[in-house]
Amino acid sequence: MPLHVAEGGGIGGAMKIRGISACLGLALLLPACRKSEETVDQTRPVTMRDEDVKLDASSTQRFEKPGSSKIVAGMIPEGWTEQPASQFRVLSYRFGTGGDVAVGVAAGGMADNVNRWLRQFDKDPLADAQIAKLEQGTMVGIPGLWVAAEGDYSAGMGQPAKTGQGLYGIIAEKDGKIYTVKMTGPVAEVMAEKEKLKAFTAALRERGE
Amino acid sequence: MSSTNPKSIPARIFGVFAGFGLATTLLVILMLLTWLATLEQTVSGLHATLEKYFSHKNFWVFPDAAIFKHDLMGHDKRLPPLPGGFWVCALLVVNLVLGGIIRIRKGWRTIGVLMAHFGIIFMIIAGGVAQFKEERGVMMMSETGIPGLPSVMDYAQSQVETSVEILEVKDGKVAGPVHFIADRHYKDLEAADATRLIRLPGLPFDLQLERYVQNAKPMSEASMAAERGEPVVEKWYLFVAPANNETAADTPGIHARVVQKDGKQGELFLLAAPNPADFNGLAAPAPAPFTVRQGDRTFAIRMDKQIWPLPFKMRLMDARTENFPHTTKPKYFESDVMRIEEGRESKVFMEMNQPMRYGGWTAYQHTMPGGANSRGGDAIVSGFEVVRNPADQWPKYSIYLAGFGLCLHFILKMVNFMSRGSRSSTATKA
Repeated sequence: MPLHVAEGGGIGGAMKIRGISACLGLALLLPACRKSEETVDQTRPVTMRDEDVKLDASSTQRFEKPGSSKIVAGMIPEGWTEQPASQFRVLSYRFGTGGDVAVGVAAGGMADNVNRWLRQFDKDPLADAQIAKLEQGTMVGIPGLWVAAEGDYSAGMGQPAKTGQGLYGIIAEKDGKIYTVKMTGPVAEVMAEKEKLKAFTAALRERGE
Repeated sequence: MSSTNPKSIPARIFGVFAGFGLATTLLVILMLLTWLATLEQTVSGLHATLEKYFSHKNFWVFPDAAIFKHDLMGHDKRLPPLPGGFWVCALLVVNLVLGGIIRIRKGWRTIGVLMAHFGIIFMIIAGGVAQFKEERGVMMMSETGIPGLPSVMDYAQSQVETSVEILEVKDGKVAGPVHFIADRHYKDLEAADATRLIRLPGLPFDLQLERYVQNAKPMSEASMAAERGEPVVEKWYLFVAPANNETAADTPGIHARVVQKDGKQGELFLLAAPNPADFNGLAAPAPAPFTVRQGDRTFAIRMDKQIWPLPFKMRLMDARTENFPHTTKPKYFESDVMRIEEGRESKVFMEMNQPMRYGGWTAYQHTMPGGANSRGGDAIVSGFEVVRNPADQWPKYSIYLAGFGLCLHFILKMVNFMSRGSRSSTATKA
């Protein structure tokens, strides 16, 4: 049986207006509702952006603008070209045909960082006893260890592996912070710049010193 | 006895929803929305305005009064509300289906109109599908690979959307998959007391997110004291900067804390998307995360622009550009890229208006900053806009269909008119 609409009289009209107002009010309020709890189960595959995650960074390490670090160079060896600083590079230089020097402040322990560098050259990790036998040095007055390696270098961050590369660098640890000076490049060029790197490292100082 | 029976309520409702009256009203509202949105995007930015006027989340839109009186900018003065564009389009689809498909007389005389109606419905649906399903990002690459601008990428990044990501790290490497919380789950938490517990079924903890900031600048208390009651963590806080007209320039941030499955809350920490301006001005490297240890498991939590993983890698081989003489208007951008998929390499040439379509994704040559000059030559950086939209080609097909339908209708009408004309002249002669 078909339903029929009654003609809107005084009361019916008022009811209609109230009904429409209620609907409009509800529609206006709906978007204002805020959930206090939600369940989210979304995932994505690992990409190149997820390589080289820096763990245990302090708020200063996470948020400080690149180039505002306290470490400054005391001298720049001849033949080195300064490059812009970045989030993980306090100071950055290029030399030769593909040589690279990076001064950084990272987090983690000495062993983690030594073995992270070695892993980039596809070398087996060193045990603590082996690490203790590495060449000793200092950086901004902090005792550290020199690390050397040769082979295929995978820098991460989407860079393809390079063959015939060398590594020479120092890792120093103080108060849970890791300070590094890392030189990489073609083996012969790295070998040739070793002494310059040592002089550069010895001249590094903290800002205001 | 009257021959006209009163219509039933369903018939009346059908009549209203299928009627020309509703169609006209909706088209007028759409015209108004488009006009007001066009004006408002000049004061509020394109992305924010499109979200406001045409998102499915907004049933109502309050146009900003500043579009007519610039003195009111920033005073939150609103014009009377209009229905949200998404819902107007949805109602228009209903109207077209009921009136333009179901109720319309069907026969060879109306076949063109029917096709045109199908085409318009198809186009509106394509817009709806794109709103829900489209993934859009950019790939900023350099030939040499510098921080933030790698030479090889297997992902694109959204310019306007962010996400909170949780990565499990084992032996110094991320063990996939990466869990993420898209910004639609926290963007509404802008009030100082707004919090939301995000349950994470695949992880040993949940996250509580608080106080979202659309344009956050991490600030050290040593530089500037927190004066607006911002939570301070390790002498850092999120400074609330005004949102940019271009949403892509905003660097969102949020306050978060780990919540154990038993409800125990951890310390507050800050998350902020990295700012390209702090690096090369074009793209930022992945931000250093906040580290969480749960027993023998280690997790990294960070906020970043939403990442869209691609089913292939792209390596920028060579980028070239040139401007028109004595102008900054680009004459051409073109790039040679290597597409790498499961070890197979394919060289692809890309230029403006010649995208690469592959694996459900379309990559367009988007920008080539810093490389153009009137003499032409090499650029170092090339940017690609990458889109995955299941309805990518639907608007084209709908235009073909509607265009063909209207042409057919015009031809049928013309033939009908001419045949009527010849019949009447024959009758006059007789």
